[in-house]
Amino acid sequence: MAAQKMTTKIKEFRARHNLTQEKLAQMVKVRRETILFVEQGKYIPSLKLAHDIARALETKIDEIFFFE
Amino acid sequence: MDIKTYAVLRTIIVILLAAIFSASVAANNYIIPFVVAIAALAVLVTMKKKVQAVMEDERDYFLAGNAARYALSIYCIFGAIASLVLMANRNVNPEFELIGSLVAYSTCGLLILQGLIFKIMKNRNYGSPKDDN
Repeated sequence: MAAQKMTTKIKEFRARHNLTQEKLAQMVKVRRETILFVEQGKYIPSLKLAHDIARALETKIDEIFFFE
Repeated sequence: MDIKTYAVLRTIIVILLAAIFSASVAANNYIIPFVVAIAALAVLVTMKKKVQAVMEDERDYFLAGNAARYALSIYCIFGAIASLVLMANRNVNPEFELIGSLVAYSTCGLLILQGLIFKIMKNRNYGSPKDDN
């Protein structure tokens, strides 16, 4: 099975809500580096973290995470 | 307490622990290091609980799992090769057989332990296949 590439719109949504990576990390109880790696598509988050991020950004999972 | 303060205090405790350990072992006292190690562990756990920020998250656990898997694979491959080489050269030095056996048994023990823990975790977290009915 070929590895799937993930892209996100977290940065865009963060800007809309005027949130920094640090603030978002605090909201979803992870380290800032994790948010950075998720944003860059280098780390695929668990369903729970994806759900928490979507909730913090007041959107749905499928509106911020995309798999090619 | 923030992460930086915790890191500094942890380093100080480790340095003190190492110093006390060396001094005690040099003085042939093995009770002091034992007591000090338990006390240091208790202090570190208490300090960690007081840290406000998130110190580890799911990415760290994921990476730790991967690191453990690679470490196990590397140890087992090298353990198997080393035990074979040592046992094959037992004529050179009879003690090689003992060392080779020790390495081979420790490798097998580690693999059995890993298999057992894997099975327990699999059944606990995802249920046994019989539960499908």
